[in-house]
Amino acid sequence: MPINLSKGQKVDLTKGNPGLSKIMVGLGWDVNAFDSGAAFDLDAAAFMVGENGKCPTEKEFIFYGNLEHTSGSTKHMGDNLTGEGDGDDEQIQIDLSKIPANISKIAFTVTIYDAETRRQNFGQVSNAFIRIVDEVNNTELIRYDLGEDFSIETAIVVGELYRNNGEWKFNAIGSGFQGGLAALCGHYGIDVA
Amino acid sequence: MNLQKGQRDKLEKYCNVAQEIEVVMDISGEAVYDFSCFGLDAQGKLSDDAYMVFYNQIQTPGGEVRYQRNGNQACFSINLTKLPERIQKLAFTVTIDGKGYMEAVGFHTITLRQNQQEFLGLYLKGTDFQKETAVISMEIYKKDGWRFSAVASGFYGGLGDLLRYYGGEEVQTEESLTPIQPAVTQSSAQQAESVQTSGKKVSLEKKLEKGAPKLVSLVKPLQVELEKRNLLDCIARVALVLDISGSMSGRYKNGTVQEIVNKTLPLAVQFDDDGELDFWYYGTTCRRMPSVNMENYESAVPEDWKKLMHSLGGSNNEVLVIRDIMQEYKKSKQPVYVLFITDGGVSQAGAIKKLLKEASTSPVFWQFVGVGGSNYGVLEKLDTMEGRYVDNANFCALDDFKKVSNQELYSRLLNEFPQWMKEIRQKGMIG
Repeated sequence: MPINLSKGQKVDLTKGNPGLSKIMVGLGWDVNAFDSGAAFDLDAAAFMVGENGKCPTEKEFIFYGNLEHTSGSTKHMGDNLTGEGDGDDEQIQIDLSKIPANISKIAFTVTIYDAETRRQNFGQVSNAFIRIVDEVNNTELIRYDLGEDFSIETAIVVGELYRNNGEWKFNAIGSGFQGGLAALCGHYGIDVA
Repeated sequence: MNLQKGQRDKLEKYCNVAQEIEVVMDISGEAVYDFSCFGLDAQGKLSDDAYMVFYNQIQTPGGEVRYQRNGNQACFSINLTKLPERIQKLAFTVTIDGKGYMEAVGFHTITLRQNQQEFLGLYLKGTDFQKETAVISMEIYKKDGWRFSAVASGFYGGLGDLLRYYGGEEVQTEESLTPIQPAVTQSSAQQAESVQTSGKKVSLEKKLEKGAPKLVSLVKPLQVELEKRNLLDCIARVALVLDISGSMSGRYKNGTVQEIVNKTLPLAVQFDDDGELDFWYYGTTCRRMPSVNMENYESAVPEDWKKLMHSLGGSNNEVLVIRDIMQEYKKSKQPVYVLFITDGGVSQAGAIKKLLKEASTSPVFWQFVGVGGSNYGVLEKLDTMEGRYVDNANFCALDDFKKVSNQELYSRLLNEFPQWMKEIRQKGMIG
């Protein structure tokens, strides 16, 4: 039985789950079925940050332009999804055992590509969720449905994996930003050209 | 407070939801505008017609929603707390009756008022829209209390689209109401001949009546176009190729793609000796699907199409699927009519051109159909492309798929096919 989280809730991930290392983070959403406006293009990303809340280098920013971290710990599956795991729109694979020691937190985000020109925001997106699946036995461990709390934001920090006393925990963040991926990059200390 | 498109929030922050609220909708423009309020259930469906409030039904049974119209302004007075439990959403819409598009409006505003005080306003201009003829301007819905959403989006197919979206009574679509022209009378000797010899084929109408009665209304418009083009006796395999890249999502979700399948099937039943559509989906990769026939056509677009979309990858790669189809029909003794549906974003111009040149010695005709509105790239230039054995491809835009009449639809799809048939016969490419 997965644990359904609500906004702000924190849960243990590895504690009580010894041996858990390979997980898949699935992110999904629905866009409306209207004829109006341009098509939606939503992107999932992961920011691997240190104690100071910043990415040590831009290599720790995992997104469609940089699919895999050099440590092999974090891998964005891009558009090449297997279709496994119902309803995920994008997936990021994490191997907890390979996450470098200088990384204390991985934040998962969803942003709307080109939102400003296309005049789109998360008020036009529904049923967004994040879920964490144990890759070894394909069981869903955690699920967080984001609900109705977003409107004119164009970027969302959906949730975070973080280290806590040698264990990994998950925090259902659910905070929105305006300014899209660029705003998030700024937040996590990535220079955007 | 002024709202932006897409903005949503809890209503209780701005007013007393237990008291009457007025939703005032204004519009300026040249067209005829109708305002409606749909009272919807938890699934977003109009399960009770009594909760559609508009000029022809100016209030709900309990008076929870009341409509007043004054010129181009409509005022809905609503009592949310009095609504029956099953009504979970009120959608306030504007539709255009007859000619015109939302992009041509001067302004469209929706304001929420209580005790004559405006507390929320959404101010839209023509530039906020495109060719919509039905717009959901604002929604008020229940999800941990009452909330609003400044939707400001809609459909190109008028009130009919809205009704379909809300799953209300099946309405006659505009196209099926368009009077169907009687079988072409400007007949030539050639046509008379073809009509005579068509006796050897079981009539399309009979086949569909038996196998797919829902599609019978397509027979007449199709037959008119076939007769015009002397194609009644034509035998060909028919293949359907559907773009399932990410940008097509909306068209899968709103049923457009399934409708394309529905309208293509009669072509296959007519042309094809086995009455089946050979069937491919393509994204980044492609997959040949089981053939579509009168028994299974309604599930050609699977319910979990999203899964299929994911497994085929999100972008569009025409080259792979074209190659796959070429391989399949390389040795075909029959002509093949390939209907290739895409929403554009076609980028591999060089590779596609090369393939089509290579394919021009096979008896395969490529009818590319654009349903996305732009960026069809090389597909639009097919007619003038040099270096082919025969002109084996055509492109037509069907961006207005939902609006064109069936006859117009078949006219566009069959436009160049007869010339190609003639040419391959002359060149002895088929037996």
